[in-house]
Amino acid sequence: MELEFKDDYDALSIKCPPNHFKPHKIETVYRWTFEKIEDNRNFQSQYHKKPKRFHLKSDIDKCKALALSMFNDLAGAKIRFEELAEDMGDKVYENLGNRIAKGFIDTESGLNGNIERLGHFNHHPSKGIPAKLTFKILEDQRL
Amino acid sequence: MEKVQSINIPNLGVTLEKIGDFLYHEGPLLSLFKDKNNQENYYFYKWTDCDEEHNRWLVFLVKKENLRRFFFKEINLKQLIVELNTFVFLIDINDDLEVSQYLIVSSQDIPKSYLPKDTSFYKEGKYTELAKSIKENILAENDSIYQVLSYLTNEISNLREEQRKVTSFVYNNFKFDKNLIKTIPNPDSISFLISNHNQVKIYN
Repeated sequence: MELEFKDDYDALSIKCPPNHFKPHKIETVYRWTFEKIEDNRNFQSQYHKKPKRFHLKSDIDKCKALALSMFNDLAGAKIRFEELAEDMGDKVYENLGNRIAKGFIDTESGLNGNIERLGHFNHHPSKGIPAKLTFKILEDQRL
Repeated sequence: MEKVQSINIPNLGVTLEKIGDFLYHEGPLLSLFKDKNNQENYYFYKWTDCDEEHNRWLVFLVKKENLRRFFFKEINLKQLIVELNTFVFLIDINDDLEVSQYLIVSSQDIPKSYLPKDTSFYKEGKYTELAKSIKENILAENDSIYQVLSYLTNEISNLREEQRKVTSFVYNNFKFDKNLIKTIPNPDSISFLISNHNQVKIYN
């Protein structure tokens, strides 16, 4: 499987994505997005955002910043956002999103890390980002 | 980017070393740094704002004791920023991760949108494993301090017992001024005797 950010991975001195990232089929996944699904920021990795939001240049940080955050649980996605909003304040809605989109991932979509707390996992998309095309904003959900 | 009443400064005036991230989502949101020249001083970098060219970080001092209070939920993140600092810093970092400007801001002039909520207390799970390990280290340091304090308390207790014996001996074997005796509450009041030793009249 060729990954979307292959050139960026190749430029790093570490194995990225790490070996434990595997292709999985996950029937329902959620991602924080902005109001319009067409918004370029919705599926742009932090590494490619301008300006990128981090303060070190280590390859580990760069690799992490190339992944897209997703959740396999709607309630978990909302709880995690509320947790961050508690500490970050209202500006978080301008940077991390204000809506939730729902989609699905299959074994061709990319490589996924382990499912963590609240159903969060990191996703390194395959070329063409096929998962992106499956996402739809949940109109009845607000962050 | 919010307009903030501030003063430009050339740099922070401290040498900071990153320890790690406390909050992370596709990049750091809240990171802990230590002052390389003062082990009691930590600094948080809290992401606060951005425009097309910069991310803005709110940088503020946290004394180790206050970090301990934060971990034990005695104070929240908002209080760490506003109540325990008279001023804070804003740092604008560009896409090349270079600092474009350092600003110093009165903590009273921080825009509300930059501040955490009143519920911004430490919670395990919400924060990274790194935060948990730092909390445990501080707890272990506290345990060491308590062990020393416990030892000293025992020593003081032993000394007090010795002093009590001496006081009892003096009390039972020497004549005191009768009026003074009435003012001595009990033989354990060694502190009373010490503080009033000039007034004690001892007769052979």
